[in-house]
Amino acid sequence: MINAEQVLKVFHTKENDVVALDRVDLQVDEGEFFVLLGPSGSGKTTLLRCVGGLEDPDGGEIHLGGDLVYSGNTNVVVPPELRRVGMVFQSYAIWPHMTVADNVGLPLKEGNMKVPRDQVDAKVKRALELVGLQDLGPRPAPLLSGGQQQRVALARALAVEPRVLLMDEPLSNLDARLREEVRAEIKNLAKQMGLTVLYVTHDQEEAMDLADRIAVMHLGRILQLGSSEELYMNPVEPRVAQFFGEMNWVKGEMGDAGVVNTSFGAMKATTNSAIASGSKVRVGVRPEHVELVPGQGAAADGLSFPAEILSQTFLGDRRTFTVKLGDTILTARGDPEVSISGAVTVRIQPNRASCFADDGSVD
Amino acid sequence: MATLSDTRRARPSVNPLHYLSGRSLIFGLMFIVLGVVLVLLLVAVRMSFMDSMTKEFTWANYTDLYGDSFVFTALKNTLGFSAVAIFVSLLFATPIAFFAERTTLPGRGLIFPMMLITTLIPGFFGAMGWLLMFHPRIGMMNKWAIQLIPGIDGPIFNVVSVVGMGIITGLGLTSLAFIMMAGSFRAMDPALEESAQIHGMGLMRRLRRISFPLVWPGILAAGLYVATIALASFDVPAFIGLSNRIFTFSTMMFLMANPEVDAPRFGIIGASSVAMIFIALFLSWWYFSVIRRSHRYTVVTGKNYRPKLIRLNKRWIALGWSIVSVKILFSFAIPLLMLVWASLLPFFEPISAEAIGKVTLDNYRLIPWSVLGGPLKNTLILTFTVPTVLVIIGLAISWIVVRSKAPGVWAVDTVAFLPHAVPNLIFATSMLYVGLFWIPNWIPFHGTIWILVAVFVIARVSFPTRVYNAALLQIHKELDEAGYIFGLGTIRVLWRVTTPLLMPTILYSWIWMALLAYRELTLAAFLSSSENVTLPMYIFSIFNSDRPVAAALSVVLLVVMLPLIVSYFIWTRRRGQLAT
Repeated sequence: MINAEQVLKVFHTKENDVVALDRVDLQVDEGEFFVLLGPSGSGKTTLLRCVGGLEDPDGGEIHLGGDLVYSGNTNVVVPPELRRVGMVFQSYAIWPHMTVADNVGLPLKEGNMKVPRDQVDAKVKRALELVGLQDLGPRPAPLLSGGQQQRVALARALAVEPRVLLMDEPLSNLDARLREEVRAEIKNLAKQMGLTVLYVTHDQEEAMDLADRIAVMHLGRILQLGSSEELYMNPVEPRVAQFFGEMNWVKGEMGDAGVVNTSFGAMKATTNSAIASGSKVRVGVRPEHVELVPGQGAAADGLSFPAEILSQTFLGDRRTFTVKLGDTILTARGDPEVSISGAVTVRIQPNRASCFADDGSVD
Repeated sequence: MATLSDTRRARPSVNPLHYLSGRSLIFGLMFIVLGVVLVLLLVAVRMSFMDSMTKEFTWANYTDLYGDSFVFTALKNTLGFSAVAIFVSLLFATPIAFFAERTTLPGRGLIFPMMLITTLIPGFFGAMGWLLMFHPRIGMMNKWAIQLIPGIDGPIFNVVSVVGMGIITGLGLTSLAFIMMAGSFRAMDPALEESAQIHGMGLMRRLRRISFPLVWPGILAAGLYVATIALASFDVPAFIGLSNRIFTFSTMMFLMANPEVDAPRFGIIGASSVAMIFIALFLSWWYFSVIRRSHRYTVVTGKNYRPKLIRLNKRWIALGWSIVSVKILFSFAIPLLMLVWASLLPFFEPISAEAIGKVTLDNYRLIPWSVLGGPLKNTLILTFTVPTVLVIIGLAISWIVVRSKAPGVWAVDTVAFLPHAVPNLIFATSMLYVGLFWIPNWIPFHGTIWILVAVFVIARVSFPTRVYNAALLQIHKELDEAGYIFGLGTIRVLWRVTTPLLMPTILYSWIWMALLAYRELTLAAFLSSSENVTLPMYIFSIFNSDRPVAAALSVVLLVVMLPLIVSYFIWTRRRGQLAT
């Protein structure tokens, strides 16, 4: 449904030129819930706005539903009002001088997405029902709470039955409880209506919950694209790994045959690309994969190492431990009922130790 | 409804005519209006190199600026007149701003609204009133002095002089200078003074060493602003200087454009205009660099913070209100009193017991209401058309500058500012030239009300633009973007989203511009013909021949205006919109 090829966007400021999108490729299938995930400045919002037509790229091509909406080569730029998309803005962008019903109804009454007059009221009513605001039609927009405004924005986008729904960090201005509630509603509605959604967020948990597929972005590039499981289990670079959940990093030097020499011994790890012997590497291990065995039964098998528990914290559904191996400090996570202290053996399975070349990208 | 297949268009960032409907209309309007601004300025340049008679190229006009004694004297007078005006306005505005913003003067909240209201009083009002008070021959104060003070048998006040005219103009411009200064007085960082106080500096020393240097940029900026206006000020020199052969730049230009014999001397008009444009642009440039520098001294905080107020004792309170009263008295109350008095007598004479017996309402009854029909109609046309056109143009230009993301909008903003920096009468004289020589006779323009509408609009383009720029910045652009995403085109978004949100600003700017058009004399005078006389112009034309009726008409003009001004201020005050 969305097809972006080699999209380039450069912002020119007085000091320098900022490459917001560095020849990005993206494909979103019909009915897919696709999330762009990344920190500020990663280009995710810029990409979303380019798809919507609110920004014009400096190169590449964008197709929506098979129609060309932007081409840098043939100089085609379709203005946003002709692209037939819906959008939920971060600031909601509810028109303050209109009522709730007028907000939802205006795109249906005027402009490129209008419908026959006699259908407007029914569609507005249905959209408001979908978001649970069916009684608030006549209310003036400024008299709504943040959460209600958010829902009106959603209703407005759903009412036009767009072929693509764009969402720009819609939950970031809501408080935590409301955020979870609305997140569940969005997920249900998207599934129910078979919508194609392009969703932008910096919240990794949100992304993992909502998405069919996620694209992790950084400084205008897509680092990795896949399902949340793929990204969590098999990150292709440290930055992606770091972005999802907590990660322990162990510095070392690449040895032979999948062994990394660290300050606490030789460690077996898996690499997903060839790394030359002797080069600096870092190994990532998730806290939940740092196994703790009481006592000092360490064997020199590359999996187990002698260690000492520095501290532990009880957090209700889990217990976290700070563990010292040689010069390295790791965080481990375990069964809340089991308290461990003192000398232990740490065991790390090789397939849970991801080894990356140390390019200094993560500290 | 357009479909995607027929929307192959050129790249927008190069070609501003991207969309064949909304955007191109808006850009087209901007290009036309700002094009006219530039053309009129270039016409002045063209005129300056042209011999008035033969239309051949010549440098003579520029040498005449110095060589022609009439022109040179007028320019000299202008410098003296402006210097006095600047001095007087700063002399009054500085202490008034100080009392209003930095002290505990009781009732100081009234000062700002009073000053704001008096900026709308027509300049010629004060001119007429002062003439009746201080004219060497007929002025009331002089006659009283001769009658009542033994040993005086000649006039002691002479308002018919460069200095006299400068004083009246200065008093009139005090309000404007005050408004400019009040902001910088208010924005002073109290910490700078408090640190001096903690370290032992007394009040006087603090004021002298800390406070005054900090507000000095604000004072200087106000002075430059007043200078720009004073140089080209017409009302006072027209009413007082013209018939007494004392000319300044504005009245000299007026004479050149409306001579009794011969054709208008466009050459001198052009050369003087060009000289004045350079001076005005220089003053503007200086003004902006002062403002930019002064931002170093102000504190940018979001919180409600006020500088520490100086407590006043009874003597200082009396002093403060005395200064304010003198200003209001002499710029408003006394002229009003004189005009009312003059309108109640068949022939003007000083107030005395016997004169009161001659009071009559004949002058009001004698107002030639049939003759007035024309001027009244013209004034009404201007009052209603000009602000409406300006609202539309202002919206278009502001939208382009703030929203359109087109390249080079700084140029649009700069050209839109020119009518503010450059004396307005230059647009009038250039328009005169254009109307006479460029527009064919069969198009009704020259000598009609429409040439006035055109000049009024061009001369005032800066005001709505600046106001709407600021207002548009307050409206989140995502409100517009939501419109575009949901299928509304440029004009529709402007109509359904932007304009309703701007409505309070649009209304209050419309009323302000309507009041300015209503009381405008300068532009009307320069382009007046038998067909397009306005009310202020009519008063001007009969002032010397039928003073009592002119006085009566001015009083009526003001009486009509004042309730509008006052209710306008109450309305904007309530909505918190008091902005300049």
